[in-house]
Amino acid sequence: MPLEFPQPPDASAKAARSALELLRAKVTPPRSQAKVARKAVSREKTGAAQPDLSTGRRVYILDRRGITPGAGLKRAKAVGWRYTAGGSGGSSSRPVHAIAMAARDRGHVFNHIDRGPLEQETMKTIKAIAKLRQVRSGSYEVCILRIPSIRHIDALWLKNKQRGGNLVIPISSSSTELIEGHPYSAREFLGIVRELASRQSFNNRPRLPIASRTPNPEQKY
Amino acid sequence: MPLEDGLLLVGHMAPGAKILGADVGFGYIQGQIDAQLPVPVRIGWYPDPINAGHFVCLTGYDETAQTVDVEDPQYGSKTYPFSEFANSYHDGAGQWTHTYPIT
Repeated sequence: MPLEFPQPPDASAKAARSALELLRAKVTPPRSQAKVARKAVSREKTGAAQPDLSTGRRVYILDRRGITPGAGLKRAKAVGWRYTAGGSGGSSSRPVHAIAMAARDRGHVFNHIDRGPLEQETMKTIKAIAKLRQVRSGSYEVCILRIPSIRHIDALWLKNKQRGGNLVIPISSSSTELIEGHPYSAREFLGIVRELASRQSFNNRPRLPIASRTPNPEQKY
Repeated sequence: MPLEDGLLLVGHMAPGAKILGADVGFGYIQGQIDAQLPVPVRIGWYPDPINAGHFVCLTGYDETAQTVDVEDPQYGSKTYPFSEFANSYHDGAGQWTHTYPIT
């Protein structure tokens, strides 16, 4: 099978199912609860979602320290798993969400529900690359590679399970240099990312005074 | 561009207002949103959260579940457990660094 989705740990899948219950409650809150416990400046209502735990994808984060020449993608850190929820079956018009689970020392922790466009784009990209000749003739493990600190890059990382190099396919970014849906070799991809990082400068540190921090008894983290 | 420049320009931050840290607590978020005020927040990307930043907005909460709704200009709508939002934004790539009190 050219594209393989590794089986997530049972604990991660179980925790994801629990998170989905939260998603369901959020999508269709009981009226009484919605009035007293849930407030929002604006809120988008969406349809019910179902999880597709069979296509969990391992998520890796790469930061600016990890893009040194010669390191390849070895310094990408495995941080958890991402599951599709909703809209995954046939012609369903239900919205597609993602449930992100973090792998921590103490176990698998619900990190967030993503209602943005990334999950839909990810599924579209997976479908498209599955048709590529170089993918059909190989065997790859499908992972997600996220580099948010450099042009908000999200990509599919196809780990080659046979002889040959890995492929990286950008899904989205704020860069025009990376072509979405194009299969890059890992080396080619990282060359572009390094170039983008060298040109990127942040200028958004607050300049105004910061109020002094006071202990907050409600703080839970 | 620091976010306060834009907020001052459009009249949604009081002159002389002080930016808050990331330790405002769930109660502060509740209070602002109950007052129909979204909460702009700066996220700092590791390994340099002080210099490499990104801005998002908290627009809702669930008191029972202790979650917050986030609108991210790059990634869209998300919901986080409050503690995960504070320390492990975007699969752990960043952390909450500053909070902007708007008017």
